[in-house]
Amino acid sequence: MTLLSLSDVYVTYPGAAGRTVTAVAGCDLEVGAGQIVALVGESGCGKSTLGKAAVGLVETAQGSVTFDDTPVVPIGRQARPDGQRRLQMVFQDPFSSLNPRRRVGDLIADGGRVGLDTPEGAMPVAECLERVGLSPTVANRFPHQFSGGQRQRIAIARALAARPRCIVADEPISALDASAQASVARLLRDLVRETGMGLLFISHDLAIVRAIADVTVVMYLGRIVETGPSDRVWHRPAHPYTKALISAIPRPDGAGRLPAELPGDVPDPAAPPPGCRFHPRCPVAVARCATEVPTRQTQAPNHEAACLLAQRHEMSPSA
Amino acid sequence: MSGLLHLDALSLSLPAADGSRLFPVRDVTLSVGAAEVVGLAGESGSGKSLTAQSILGLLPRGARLSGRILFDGHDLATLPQRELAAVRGREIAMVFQDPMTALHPMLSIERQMTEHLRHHRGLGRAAARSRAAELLDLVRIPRPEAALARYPHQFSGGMRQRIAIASALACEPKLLIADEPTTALDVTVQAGILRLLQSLRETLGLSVLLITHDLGVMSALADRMAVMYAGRVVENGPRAALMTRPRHPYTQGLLSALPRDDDTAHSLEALPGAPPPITALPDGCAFHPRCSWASAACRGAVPELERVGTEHVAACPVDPLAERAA
Repeated sequence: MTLLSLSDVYVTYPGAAGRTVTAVAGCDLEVGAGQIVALVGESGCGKSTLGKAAVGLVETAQGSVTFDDTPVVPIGRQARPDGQRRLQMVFQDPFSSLNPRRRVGDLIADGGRVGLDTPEGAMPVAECLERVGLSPTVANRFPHQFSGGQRQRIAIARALAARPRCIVADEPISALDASAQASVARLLRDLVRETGMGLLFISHDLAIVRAIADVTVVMYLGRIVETGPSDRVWHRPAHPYTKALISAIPRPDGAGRLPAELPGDVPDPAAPPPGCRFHPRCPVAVARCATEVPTRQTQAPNHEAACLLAQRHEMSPSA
Repeated sequence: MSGLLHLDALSLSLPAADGSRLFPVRDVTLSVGAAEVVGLAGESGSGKSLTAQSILGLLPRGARLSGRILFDGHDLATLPQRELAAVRGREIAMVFQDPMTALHPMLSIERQMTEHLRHHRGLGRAAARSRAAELLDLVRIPRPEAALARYPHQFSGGMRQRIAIASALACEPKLLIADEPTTALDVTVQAGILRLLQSLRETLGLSVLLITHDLGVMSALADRMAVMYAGRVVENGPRAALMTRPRHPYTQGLLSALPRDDDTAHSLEALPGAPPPITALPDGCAFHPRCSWASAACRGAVPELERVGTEHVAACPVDPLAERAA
């Protein structure tokens, strides 16, 4: 069952010199109950903006965002409509997302206050803490008394207090140490399995994504270039960009192999290249890539890629 | 042990609130040879950055060093401030995690790059400028002459880190200390920086002390690596041996926490708990509260580093992988 659905979403920002920056240029995305969908890409590709549009933190210029079949409206000064309260967000930096002057128990109770319309009411603070693997006795402490990984657990507990049916987590583990990354990633995966909620997991780390997400969605410069089951995307990436991202990951295998470099930077989203937006950096681009805009083509069941050459360049990352 | 840099039982202490002294770095022994890349791994707070800062004498107020920091035959720990200042920046240079904070936002690239060339090398304006352009070319900044006139904010994160590296190389240092040099960058850009460091080691014979918590980065670049926990080195050995056959339960835990390439191990086995604060270190082996192999003996004495293989030492009497296989 689809919980969160984004269809042909555009998000624009006013840029320098009166130009409009299109940060998200026509993206479709669906998150089902009990499903983990990962959104990956380099900084500046628009993945965080798309995540914010999904929860109504930024206004969309075009397209629709629905949660539970009701439109998600941008959050204003008024309270969120009841229907949207069970869509929650977790942010990257647990040092800035938790008010340092409030006790952990109060922070979590605040999160619960928006969930009061649910039949069961808000989840009790002690239960929230236990769900994220913390002792209920820590409710009296302040955020500074915890490590980064523990703080992110508190931020997740706060989101859980509203008994969310779907969580959008924007880089929830990238500010953490490697071992804390693993434990928070596992926690999110287990919560989805236990509660049947949906999770949109925004990350630049494909290796972690592959280990926890059911579906991987790859974004480049405001567009979705590939989407498919995580294992399939990892082993048989169809888009040259996905392949480059995977080859750039250094493997902790002790082999002393240097990862492959993808030359160039993400272009300015205010002036995206014509044709395929990836063509100036693409190692296999041909002449028509500079003029023709590729549409998403089915590669395999549930696996799509937007590349004119996708069929021919389907290959494993080690090839 | 010989080499360009040799830390011999280096300890760093800081004054605590109650008048006692805390030891964020304790008995660290480590060598970096010529044209060698040595990695220093560990979680935040393990003392890896403070170890690096000790080498350069960039220490907080009230810090006290013991042990020796032998660099090219001199003990930096006892060198007077003035002589240390001559070594720092010229013989040893440092690159930080965030290039935006390492570069002055209000100064042009030329201004910040030529400053130390003129100071340490006594070059004139024109000579310093052409040397700066050469350095930018070395780190593969396109159109170096034009880049000199620009400011840090006009470059992307990866380009800024390249400029910071070029700037660090200005005085042809023998040793580059790179503290999480790619942590703030995208993987695609990180790959470029790793390749650059590798080529500098090959072409300039540069030695690198690479500090990172990313074992993938370590695996790509380091010849040898040391793992720190709660201020001490708990394992030190050749990269391949340490990563494929880790001997300390902590090293093994760090590696198991990573997503693996094979399909069978999707598990992300996280180490339980968090590193102890330096103000409340457990007795005996500091890792014992998180260690699944801990016994009563681990609460007693701090385990010594013992030889477990060729140039490979670990501070744990247990061999977790062998135990698990048995």
